[in-house]
Amino acid sequence: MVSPTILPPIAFVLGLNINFISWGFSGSFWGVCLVHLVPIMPYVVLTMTGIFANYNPDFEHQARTLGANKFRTFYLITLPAIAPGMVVAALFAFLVSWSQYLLTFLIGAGKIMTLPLLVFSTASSGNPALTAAISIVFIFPAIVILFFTSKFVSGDSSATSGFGKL
Amino acid sequence: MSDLKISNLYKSFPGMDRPAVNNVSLDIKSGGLIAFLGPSGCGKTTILKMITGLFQPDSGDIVLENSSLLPIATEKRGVVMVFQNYLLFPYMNVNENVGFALKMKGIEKEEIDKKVKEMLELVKLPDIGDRKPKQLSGGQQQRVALARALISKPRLLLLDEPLSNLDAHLRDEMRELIVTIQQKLNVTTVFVTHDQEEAVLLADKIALIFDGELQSFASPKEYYEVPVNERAARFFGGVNFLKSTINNNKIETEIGPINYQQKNKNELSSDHLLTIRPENIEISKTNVYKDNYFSGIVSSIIFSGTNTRYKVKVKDTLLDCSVQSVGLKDISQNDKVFVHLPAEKIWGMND
Repeated sequence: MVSPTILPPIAFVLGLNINFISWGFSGSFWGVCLVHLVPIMPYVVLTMTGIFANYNPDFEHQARTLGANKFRTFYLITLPAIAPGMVVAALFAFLVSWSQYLLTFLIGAGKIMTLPLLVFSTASSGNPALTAAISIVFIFPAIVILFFTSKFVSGDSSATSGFGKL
Repeated sequence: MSDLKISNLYKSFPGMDRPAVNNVSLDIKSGGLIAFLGPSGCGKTTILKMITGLFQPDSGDIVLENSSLLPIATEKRGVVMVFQNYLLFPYMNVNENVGFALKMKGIEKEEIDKKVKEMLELVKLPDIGDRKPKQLSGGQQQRVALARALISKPRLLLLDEPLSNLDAHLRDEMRELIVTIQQKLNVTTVFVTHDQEEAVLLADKIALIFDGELQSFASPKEYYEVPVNERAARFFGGVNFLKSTINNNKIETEIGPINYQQKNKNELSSDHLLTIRPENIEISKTNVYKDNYFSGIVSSIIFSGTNTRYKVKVKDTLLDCSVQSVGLKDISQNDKVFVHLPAEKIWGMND
């Protein structure tokens, strides 16, 4: 489940592309989404594993004895407990997907345009100003996410302490 | 009336060489305060979890108020449990925690607020409604957990090691609170503990469980005076055990012949054990006794406040005697003394 971290995308994407073409996913938005799941999976799995390792299932049983059925227990007890972890996992997933080049390039077959692809094409067409501008846009979400994730997860971090009470 | 009847409960887990709960049957009358007592791993918490519905028994039945609990989902059983670490929901404040059970029932907000206020007053914490659990002390958390459990007037209240996490003076307070509330609301209560002192202080009756099997279900006094076997006697602090044999209606022990009278004489096998509590043995420097007296040497004396413990070696057996320190006799170590085991205070058990 965490093998994508050690496996470079090139190793599987060419073969997968052949299958995607035959299934009709090539060049489609959903095809690109699907293939992005591969590099994302380890980050989500590891984050949520850590969350559940610290999770105490007795809370759910306690809620059940107090009259909550399984659905209400999940919604009122389990979700609030794992929500911070899910947010972090979601943000990791976003960052990994945001920065994918090879997978989008190949599976998208030129029809799906994302920021990394744009950076490469403007860089190779020799327009440094445009390249620089796009690069800044590209980096911006990562910085913002890191900034707020550290505050959300730990509540108190060196990244935000300089700003007083946020 | 919430009578709880456990019949032939059996549960085993893979990887264990004996069943976790082995054919346990108990009859608990409504309104009683009962202890499941036993060393760690004896199966008492497993029985509790089967009553709440976390586990299903392999066989046997649990009947509350004349209908079986087993086919009913946990949230509909009317059985609440207070865990050892209280488990107050961290994302809700005290009011929301306590009112949780009523919110699950769909009761209106004003009614819930009113009842929450009542319960918090009952557990003597009237002003902390807006606080979050992590802002409360251990004792406060436990009271809130109790209030949360009792607000919906459950048929059965289960407590897992209620006094274990508390220091001595908090224990007394909590004990009183549990007993007062339990009697006031008249809710059948079962608590689980490994501490026999806790069980003796709180419970009307104690179910003693070793290795998944019920040893006996009796009042605390009976465990002290008439324990059912040696292991049970030891668990309650019994220390003097004499191997005995019945020979022609006379009782021979390792310290000499003994005379005693008790009701279960007919059930005892020929080789059995006699026991007597330390506080029932009498000591004197001179022999003032008419029967059941033995001479021995004092091997150690330990002063522990209200009592003084003398260890007296009679033949090859060390007898533990506890005498009230007031009226201390002038006995010192290595003195020769006479010990007297009053016939009516001796109890025999099969091994």
